[in-house]
Amino acid sequence: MKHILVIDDDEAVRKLFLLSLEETGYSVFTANSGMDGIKAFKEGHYDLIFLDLKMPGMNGVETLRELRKIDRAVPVYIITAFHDEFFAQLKKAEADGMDFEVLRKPFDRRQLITATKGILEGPTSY
Amino acid sequence: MANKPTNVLLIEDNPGDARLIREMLVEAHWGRFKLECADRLSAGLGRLTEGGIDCVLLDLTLPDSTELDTFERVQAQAPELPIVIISGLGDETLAMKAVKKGAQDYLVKDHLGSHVLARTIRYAIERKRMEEELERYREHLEELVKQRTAELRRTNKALQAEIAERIRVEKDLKVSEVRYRRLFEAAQDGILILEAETGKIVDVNPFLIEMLGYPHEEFIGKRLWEIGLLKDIAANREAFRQLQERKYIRYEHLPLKVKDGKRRAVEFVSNAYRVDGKEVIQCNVRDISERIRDAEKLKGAHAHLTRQSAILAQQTKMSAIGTLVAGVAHELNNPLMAMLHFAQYCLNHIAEDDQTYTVLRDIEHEARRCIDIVKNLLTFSHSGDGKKEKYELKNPAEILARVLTLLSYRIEKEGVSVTSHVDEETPKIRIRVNAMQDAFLSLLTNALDALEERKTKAVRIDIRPDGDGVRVSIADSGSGISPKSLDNIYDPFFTTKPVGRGTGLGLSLCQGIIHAHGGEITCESGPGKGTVFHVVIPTQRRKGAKSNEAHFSDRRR
Repeated sequence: MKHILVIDDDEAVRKLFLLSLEETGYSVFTANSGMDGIKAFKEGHYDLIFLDLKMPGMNGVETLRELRKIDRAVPVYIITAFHDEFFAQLKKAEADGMDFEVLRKPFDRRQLITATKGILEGPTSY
Repeated sequence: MANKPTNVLLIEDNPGDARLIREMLVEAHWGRFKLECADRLSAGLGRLTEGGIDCVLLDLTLPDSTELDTFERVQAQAPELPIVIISGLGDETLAMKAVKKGAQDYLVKDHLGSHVLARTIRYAIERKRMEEELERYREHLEELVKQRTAELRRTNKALQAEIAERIRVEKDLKVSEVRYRRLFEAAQDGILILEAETGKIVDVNPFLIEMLGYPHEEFIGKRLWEIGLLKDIAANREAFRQLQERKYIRYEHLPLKVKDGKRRAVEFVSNAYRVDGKEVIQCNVRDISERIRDAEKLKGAHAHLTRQSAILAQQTKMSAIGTLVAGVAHELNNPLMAMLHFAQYCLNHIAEDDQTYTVLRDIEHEARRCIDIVKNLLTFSHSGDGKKEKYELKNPAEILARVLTLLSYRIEKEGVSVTSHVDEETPKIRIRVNAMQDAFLSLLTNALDALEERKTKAVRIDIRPDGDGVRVSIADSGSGISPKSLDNIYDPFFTTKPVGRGTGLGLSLCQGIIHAHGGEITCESGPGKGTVFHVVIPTQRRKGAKSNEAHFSDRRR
């Protein structure tokens, strides 16, 4: 059983993840802030994290840095519209050696499933 | 002959002689004589003091006086009376002396006769009278001469004063003339002196000679319009006539043609005045070519500045709109995405023949549409943003060719005839390739859209050099843009396309890109006449607008 953590302050986004990943059989958890996300990550075990970039409180980049302090390997998909105000910070994090992928929004159901399966199952899975 | 008796006083001490004389006078034909006698000098002198005597007959030898002394005393006593000496034969010398001293005549006793006596007395009186008159006259003359002399002296003094004044004035005049001449010669403006009556030039200063390049001789005696100085002869005769009337004329800007054919602009100020009783016109000519050039430069700089401000204002506006749009668009991203997923989820859980299936499909479709709109908006709002591509030197024809390729499917499908003409002198231009491609893509897409409902579908592309840049013209045979719309075509969100066919961002984005390259975009269009867009890009990348506005008329935007 693979576990997925979705960290996003927008309820609609959390909901869509739950709905669209339902058929994959993965177990999806959501957190509504960077702080809660880190707490959940520490307490659980996750194979993939979806992380929103623009959040109040700890934004996506700060959350990523904290996560990476705990776990350098877990795949993280940053969800962003690219012209995000935090995009520059993200580039910096990348330069600092923080590993992550970018999922460009808006994406539809099929794109999400493809991306998720791709990370969790490997290239042969889709 | 006098009617009055003549009163004679005889001073004779000899009574015989006295009686003789008395008798003679009685006999005389020469009027009447009244004779009085005195036998000594003192008596005679006494009688004389009483007056009324016209003549004195005097014997010089008297008991109480001697010879000349007798005479002198009588003369002293009555200087105004004629004295005739009665002398003896041997006394003639003495008598002569007396005559020399002032006696009128002398008679010798022995030779006396009444006729002679009377006559002598008469003559003596007459002579005396005349002497007196002469004397008076002489005195009078002397007086006159004295007066005249005094007058002359005064006049002379006055004359001398006048001469001194004249000399002083002349000196001043000379100094003033030298001073004026110096001003005339040294002036750093041109000066012409004309005879007011005829308008002929009588003098010209060195500065003007140099300014205009004509030698001195060519000016003198001619009129201003005769030396080809001023462009319009008719206007100048008129001006001259005005000058004669009003005594003053001013041209603030007079174009002149100087001898070597060059043009000069001058300020021409003329006024008339009197000198030595004659009317004279002085013309001051100041070269204002530089002032004009500076004014033109200023005008040009001002026009440039105005254009720059307009562009800056536009850019600021666009930037503000961009920020607003970006904010809204970002906000919309999540909800739209969520809606899409929700619709898709439902679709995944419903049979295709369920009546709500199509509706859900519609929801999905509309959600996608919204997302597209938002995507366009974000592209628009970030068009100045983010990592800018580098400038490259490219032939514009290459860009257009690429765009035509991108649109080739649509061009063929819709049956549009596209012709291009590229001038072989067209230079390469420094551009951001992708951005410029987007701009032309937008313009060509618009052209294709305009042709959708048309019978004749033609697009003509023209690429040629323009000034120091390149002009790309894209013309379509569409139905044209109305004059009212023409004012708004570059406004963001302005569109004449039907709903769903365009956000109206194309042209404003296009204009932004072109301005960022230092270029200009204009449009010619009219209902039924089709539309042409002209894009001019300079070869060298330049910030802001071009300073040369000459290409664009008011009609175009």
